[in-house]
Amino acid sequence: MALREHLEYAEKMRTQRRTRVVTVLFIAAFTAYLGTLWYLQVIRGEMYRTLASENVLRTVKVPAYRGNIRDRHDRILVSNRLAFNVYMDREAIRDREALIHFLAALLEMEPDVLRHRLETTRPRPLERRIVLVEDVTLKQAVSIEARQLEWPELSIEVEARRSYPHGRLSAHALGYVGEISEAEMRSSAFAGDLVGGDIVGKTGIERSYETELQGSKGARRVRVNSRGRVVEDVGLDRPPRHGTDLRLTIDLDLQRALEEAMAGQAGAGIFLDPWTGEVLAMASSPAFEPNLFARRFPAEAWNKLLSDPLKPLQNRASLSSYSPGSTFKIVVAAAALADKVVTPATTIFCPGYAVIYGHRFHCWKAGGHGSVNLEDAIVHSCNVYFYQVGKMLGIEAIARFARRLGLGEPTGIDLLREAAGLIPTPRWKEETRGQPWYAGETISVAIGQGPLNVTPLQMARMAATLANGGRKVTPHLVYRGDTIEAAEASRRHGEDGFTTRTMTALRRAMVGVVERGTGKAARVAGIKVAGKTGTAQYSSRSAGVDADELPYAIRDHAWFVGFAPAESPRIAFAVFIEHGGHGGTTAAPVARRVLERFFSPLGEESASSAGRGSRDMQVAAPMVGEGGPDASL
Amino acid sequence: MRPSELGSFDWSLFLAVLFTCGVSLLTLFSATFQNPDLSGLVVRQAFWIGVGLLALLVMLSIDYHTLAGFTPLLYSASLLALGYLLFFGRSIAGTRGWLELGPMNMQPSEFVKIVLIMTVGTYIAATGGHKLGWRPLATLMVLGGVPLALILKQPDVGTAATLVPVLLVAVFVAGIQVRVLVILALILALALPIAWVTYFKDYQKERILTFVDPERDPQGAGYQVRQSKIAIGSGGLTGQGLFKGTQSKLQFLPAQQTDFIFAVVAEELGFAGAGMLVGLYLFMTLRCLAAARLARDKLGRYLALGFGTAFGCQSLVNLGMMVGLVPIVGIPLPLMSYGGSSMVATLMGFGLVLNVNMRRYVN
Repeated sequence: MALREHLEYAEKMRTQRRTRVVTVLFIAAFTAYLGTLWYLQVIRGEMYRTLASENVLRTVKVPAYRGNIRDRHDRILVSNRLAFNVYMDREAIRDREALIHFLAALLEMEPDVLRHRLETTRPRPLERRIVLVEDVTLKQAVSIEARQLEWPELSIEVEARRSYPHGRLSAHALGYVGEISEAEMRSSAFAGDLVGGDIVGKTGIERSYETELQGSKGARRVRVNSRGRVVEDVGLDRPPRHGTDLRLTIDLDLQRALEEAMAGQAGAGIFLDPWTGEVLAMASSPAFEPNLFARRFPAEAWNKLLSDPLKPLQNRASLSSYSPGSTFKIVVAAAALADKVVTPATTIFCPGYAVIYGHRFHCWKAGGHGSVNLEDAIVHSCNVYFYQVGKMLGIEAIARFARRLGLGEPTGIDLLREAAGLIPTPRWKEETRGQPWYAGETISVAIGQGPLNVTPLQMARMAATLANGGRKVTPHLVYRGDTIEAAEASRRHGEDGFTTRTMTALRRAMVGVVERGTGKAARVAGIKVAGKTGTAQYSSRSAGVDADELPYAIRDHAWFVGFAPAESPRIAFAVFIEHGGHGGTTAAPVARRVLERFFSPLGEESASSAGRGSRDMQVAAPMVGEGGPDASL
Repeated sequence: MRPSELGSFDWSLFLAVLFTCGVSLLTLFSATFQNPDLSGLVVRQAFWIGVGLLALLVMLSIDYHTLAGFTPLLYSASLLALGYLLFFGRSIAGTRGWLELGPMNMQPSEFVKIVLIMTVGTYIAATGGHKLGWRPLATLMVLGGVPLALILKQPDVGTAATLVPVLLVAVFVAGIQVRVLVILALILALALPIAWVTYFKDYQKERILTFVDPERDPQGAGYQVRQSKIAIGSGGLTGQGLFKGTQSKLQFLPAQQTDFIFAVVAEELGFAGAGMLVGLYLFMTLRCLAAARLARDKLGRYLALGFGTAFGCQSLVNLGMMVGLVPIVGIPLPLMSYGGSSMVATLMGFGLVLNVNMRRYVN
C-alpha cells in the first residue's frame, strides 16, 4: 500500500515537473514565434509592404499615336484610323467549337483560320487575352459587342492603325510599318519601351523618322488581382507623348501626276527643287499597297508581293542602280568643258565609227553625224564625239566629274538605305578584279556604258546640280522650310559652281535635245525644257533592234534627265523606265506630263511654295564661286 | 454538475476560446465577403461553432471518468471509420479523408485526434506509477500507430503529424526507462533515412526540400509561403486595416479561409492583432497544461496534457507555416480556420480539459 502510494506520489510529482518542462517549451516556442512575427512585421515590414504593392500595382502602357505625315501643302498622306480588334479571354471559353462557328459565320472567315490562331497562341499565359481577329468592321464589332451575354469570352478593343488614304501613292517614299522584330527590339535604333507586338516603321519615311513618328508611351497604374486581371484604375502616371507630325516636301498633285504617267511601267521618277534639294515627287513603279502592312499578320500580302515578277517592294528610285546610258554624256561634256579639253566650238568628225587603240567603236547612227560640235553631239547623242573627248579626258577626270555631280555616291536623302552606285576607276578595278584598267574601257564609259551604275535619285541630283549652276544639293523628303539663302549658306566649302560658259553651253545643248533632238517628247508648251535622253543597253541582243520587237525582260532601260525652265530652273528631274526601250519614247513623255502639271496654272498654285525660292531668285546660273583654280575655267 | 464544480470552472480559458471563435468569424468575413463563391461561409462556421459549443457542453457535463469508460468503444469506432475511409472516403484536395454525410462532408480524423488523446490518457492512467517499460511503450505505439498509419494512408500528413507529439509528450511526461529510450533513438535515427527513400512520396519530399530552399518552387509551395510572408510582413505594426488587406482581397494569399487564415489577421491587424492572437493561443495552451498539472488524478492529467499538446503543437505548426518556420503541410489553425469537423472536435477537446479542471477538487 505504502509503496503504491509512494509510487503514485512520485508519479504525480514527476508528471507535474515534466508538464512544467512541456509548458516552458511551449512558452519558448510561442515566444520565438512572436519574435519572428515582430521581425517580419515591424523590422522588415517596409520591405514586405513594398512587395505587397508590387504584387497588386502594375504599370500598363498607354499607347502613343504615330505622327501624321502630310505633303508640302499640309494634305494628309499618312494618318491613323481606329481599328476594331476581337480579343478573346481563353479562360472563359465554354464551347470552343460553337464559338468558332459563330465567329466564322459573322466575320466570313474559314473556321480553320480561327482554330489555327487559337492553336498558335496556346503557349501564352492563359489569363492574358489574345487578339483573335484584327480589324473587323464597325458592324461586325457592334454585332459581337451586342452578344456579350452569349459570348462573354469575346471583347472588342479599339486601337489606332496606320492608314494611307492614297493607297499606293508615294508608297516607297513613305514606306510601311509592321510589328517590331526580335532583332529590332535588340537594336538601339528603336529606343524606347517597345515590346513585341508594337508597330514600328520598316521602310521609307516611316522608318527613317521612326523616333519622331513613334512618340513615347504613357504609363497608367492599375491594381490587379493575383490572376493579373485589372480590378481598379489608379491613375495616369505619365501621359503618352504622341508622335510628331511630319510635313514632307512632296507635292501630292505632282506625285499623282508622276504616278499616273508611269502607270503600267516599271521604273522610277524623281523631281527635285534644284535649289534646295526638296523632293517634289518621287515614285517607284510598280508600288505596293501600304495599308496591307498596317495589319499584324500580313503573311499572305507579303508572299504575294515577294513573288511578283515586277518586284513592287523594290524601291527603284534610290535602292537600285542602273547603267546611265547616254545621259552620262552630259557628265563627260561638263568635264570636257571644265577641264578645257574642248570648247563649245570644237568639232569632231563622226563617220559612224572611230578607231581608237586599234579598236573600232561604233556610233549608233550607221552613216555617222558628220562634223559635230558639243551641242550637236549632245542633241543627237553622237557616240564618236564622246569617244574622242573621253579619250582626251581620261578615266580619272571623268570619274572625278561624275562624283562632282553626285554620281556613284549616296545622295544623303533622309531615307536610311540607299544604293551607292558605281563610278569605275583604275583603282577600283585593281582592287575588285585584280586587273589593270584598259584604255579601251574609258571609251565605253565616255558614252555611259561599262561598269557604270547610278540610281535614278543620283541622276535627279545631277540634274539639280546642273540646273543650279553646279552646287550639289542634298535631296530630302521632310520639309525644313529651306530658302535658297539657307541652302547657299550650307553649301560645302570648295564646291564651286560652273562657269557661265560651261553652263550656257550645256544648257543650250540640253534645250536642243528637247527642241530638236532625241527628247522632243518632253516638250512643254511655253516652257523651255533642258534634258538628255538615255538608252542603257541591257542585253547585247538588244543592239540595233527595235524595242517593241524584243522580249520585255531584255529591252533597254530608258532614261530622261533634265530641268526646267532652262534659263531659271525651278524643277530638276530624272525619269527611269525599266526595259522602256528608248529614253526619248518612254521616259521623256513621263517627264512632260509631270512638268505640264507643275507649270499649269493649277500646278503653279499648288507649287507656289515649291517654287518660291527659285522665283525670288533671278537667273542664278552660273553661280561662280570665288573658286579655286580647279573649278574655275 | 455540482455548484462546487462550477466554482472551479476555468472561465478564462472558456472565454478565450469563445473570443477566438469570434475572431474566426470576423476574419472569415473579411476573407470571403468579396468572393461570391464563398458566401455563406461565415454563417456555416457560426453554425459549427454552435454545434461545437453544444458538444463542449456535453463533454463538460459528463464526468471524465465516465467518458474514459467509452474509450474502447470510441477507439474501435475510429479504426472502423478510418478503415472505411480508405475504401469509400471522398477525396477532397488529394486526401481521402472525407466522409459524405448527406449534404455535408465530415473529416473523421479530427475526431480521431480526440479519441486518441482519450485512449492514450486512459491507457497511461492504467499503468500505475511506474515509468514506461517495453510492454506499455509497445502497447502505446500500437494504439497510436494504427490510426496514425490509417491517416497517413489517406494521405493526410498534417493531421498525422499532430498526433505524433501527443504520443511523444505523453511518453515523455510519463517517463521512460533509459535503456528503452536509447534503443528507440537508435531505431528512429535508422528509420528516418529509410522512410525518406521508401515511404515519402515525391511531392512530399519536394515540399520539405522547398521548405529548406523556398526558391526551389516559386510557383507552388514556395509561392504560398512567399505570399503568406508578404501578407504578414506588410501588416506592419498596426495592419492595413480590417477588410483592407490587398494580399487577401486580391487573392494573392492561398487558402485564406482555411490554412492561411492567420495571414489575413496579420495583414489587416498587423503585429498588434497577430501578436495578440499568438498570445491567445499560448494562453489557451498553457491553461490546458495548467489543468494537467492541477488535475485530481492521472487520467485527468493525461487527458488535459494530451489535448493541450495537440492544440499547442497544431497551432505552432500552422503558425510556423505562415511565417516560414515549418514546411507547408495542409493543417488548419484550430478554432480559426474554416471547417466544421475541426471546429467541433477542437471545442470537444476544450470541453474535456474544462471537465478535468472543473473536477479537480472532487473526490
